[in-house]
Amino acid sequence: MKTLEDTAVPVTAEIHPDAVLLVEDLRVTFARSGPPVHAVNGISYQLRAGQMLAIIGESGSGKSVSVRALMGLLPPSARITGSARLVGTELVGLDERSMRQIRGRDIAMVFQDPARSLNPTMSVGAQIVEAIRTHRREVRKAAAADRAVELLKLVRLPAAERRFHEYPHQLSGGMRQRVMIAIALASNPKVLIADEATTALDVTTQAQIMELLVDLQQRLGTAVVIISHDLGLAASYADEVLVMYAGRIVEQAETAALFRNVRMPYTKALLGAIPQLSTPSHSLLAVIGGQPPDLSALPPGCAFEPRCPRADEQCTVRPELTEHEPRHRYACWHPHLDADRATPPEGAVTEGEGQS
Amino acid sequence: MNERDDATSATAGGADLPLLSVRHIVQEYVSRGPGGVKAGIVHAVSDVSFDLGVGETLGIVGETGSGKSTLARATIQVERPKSGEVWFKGRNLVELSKRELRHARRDIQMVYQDPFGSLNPRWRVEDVVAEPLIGHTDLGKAQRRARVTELLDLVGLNPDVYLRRRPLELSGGQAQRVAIARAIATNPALIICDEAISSLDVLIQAQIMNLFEKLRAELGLSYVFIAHDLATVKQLSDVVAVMHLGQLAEVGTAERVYGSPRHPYTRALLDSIPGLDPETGIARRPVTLRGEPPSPLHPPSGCRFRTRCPRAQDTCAVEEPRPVDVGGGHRVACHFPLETEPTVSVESLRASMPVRSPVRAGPVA
Repeated sequence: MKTLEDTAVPVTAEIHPDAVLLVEDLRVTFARSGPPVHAVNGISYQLRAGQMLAIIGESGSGKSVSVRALMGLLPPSARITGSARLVGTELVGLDERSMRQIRGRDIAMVFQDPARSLNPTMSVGAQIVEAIRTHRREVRKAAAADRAVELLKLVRLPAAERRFHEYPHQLSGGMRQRVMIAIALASNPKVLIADEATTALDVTTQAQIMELLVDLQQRLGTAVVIISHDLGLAASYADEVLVMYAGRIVEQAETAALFRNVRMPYTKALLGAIPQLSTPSHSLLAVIGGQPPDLSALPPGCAFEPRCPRADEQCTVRPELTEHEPRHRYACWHPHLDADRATPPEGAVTEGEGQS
Repeated sequence: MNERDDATSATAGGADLPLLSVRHIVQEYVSRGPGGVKAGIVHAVSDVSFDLGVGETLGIVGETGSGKSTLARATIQVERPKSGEVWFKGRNLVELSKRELRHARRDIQMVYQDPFGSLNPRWRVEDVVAEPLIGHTDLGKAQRRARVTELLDLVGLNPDVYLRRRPLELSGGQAQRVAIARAIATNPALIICDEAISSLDVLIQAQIMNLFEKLRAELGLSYVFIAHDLATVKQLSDVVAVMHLGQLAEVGTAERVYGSPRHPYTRALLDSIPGLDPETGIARRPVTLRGEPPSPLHPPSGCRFRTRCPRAQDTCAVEEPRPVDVGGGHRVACHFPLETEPTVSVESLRASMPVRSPVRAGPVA
């Protein structure tokens, strides 16, 4: 009866020399009047310089909470345990004053809604200048302004010199997100977290912003974490993918390996639920029923067990996240292995509806 | 009365009269600057026409600001269009009085993006779903309750559990099911879904999409399905209209518009989607369209897409392209449409997907 709790051995045994962020057994619990909410339940991963990592999951999977915990952006009711080292500095338990030093300088974040993240009463340029001078007081205003225009050019904002003087409402959603990225890059952070940063954007703008992030990651060597519910997005851009469910990592591998050999039934279900351009109109999607579990009353076994088409008695004991194949970890007793690749996922119904 | 011109019915096979015929809809707003000074005219929808057959689904795709929602609102007369006609079941909705319109709405219902925003938080599910029955039918209290029970069953919610709940006690997917139950309460012929699944999680999205398909088959519903997600629209639609800056760039059957798009804008949209083949696990990295969409306040002269179009020539700045039928009800508004590609099979699509750039070396952990 071994569960993750019993094995306090760090999952990331071997530390990569380029690792900039090392997360080990991170847990986040929210206290409230009722039973506490277990939002993140022991996740471990490492992020290398110049890597793009995607954290995938549904609402409530803990993907956002886990990165906000690193940045000290959670409300006081959150209890964070475990370890998260950003180039040697332990982030868990860091006081607000020191955290403020690190936030924005070493680790920065871009959010889903750029309209709400920007100050509507300040010009775009002034906001970038402020971001630059927050961490480096000695930089003179004129120099900071030059740097701000440079940053706006870096994020490929058209007519950067003119936009410098404009206000957020004068820009489109895509341009605002570029400004947010410019602000995030102001002090050349080692880690950039994009939390659903392209979700609210049009598909055309999304492609532009993602291309920009890839370019920055490659040119500046910034490590990028994209948090998304979009598997297609992760598959197209990320080097490595973590799939989260109910606050735990359920599958983790390099992107190509993961999508070529999806093992965990939950990842399979996510994949089956995405409409494909190649399927005919009116075909039904392979769906699984049910809801994600209540995070204040998690089942003792596999959290996906109540919804899983492959579940049996064994699943009432939680499977550990284990490296079953080289660089491919998953937490499942009944993974989809190569032998059953030819069969469609359980519950798949395709119906060639006649059209009137 | 039946002078519906350019009757390019997208209804393949040319069935009888379409359920909905929209002709030359124009919607414009006055944009005001500081102090209420007239700053210009927003050309939200400019001369859009389409047909929708009984039991058919029309998908409308396009970027933010392309006029998708405005077109839907002008269609059901939430906002009267500046000009144009909307023929629904033999009547021109544009000419109806408010009273007549209220009656006609029994047949056309809408489902919006945010279910919590469209459900009264203080009402119980039962009352929310029963409300249209009070206005549009003369069912008694007991009959209404029976109908609500039936409707909740139909949308996959157990009435014993959900009748007495209030909207805030529901998840997003459940709330959207309630909104759908309410929309189908009066047995409408047409449901307009404006980004109805965009804010839901992937797995819930798939459930609701399957529910729409089930209702279509069981109740013979027609849909206008507005979304910015092209794959979702493909899955649900018979006919797809691609909107760009208030105009229809391309209309045709879903198979043709996605399989062999003729408008460069449609091609660009399709190329922007990050794709993933679920069987091979091969990802397709998007090709980006350069530039920002122009402002509907000052649309470019001639073709409104020309500023971003890789095929644009001098003519495109001078002459506005008119929609031309390229066969089978497939209409394209472009001076230099793309060549027809051979019908794309799933296999060839798969083969054409470029393999993503190799993953940088280094162990995962």
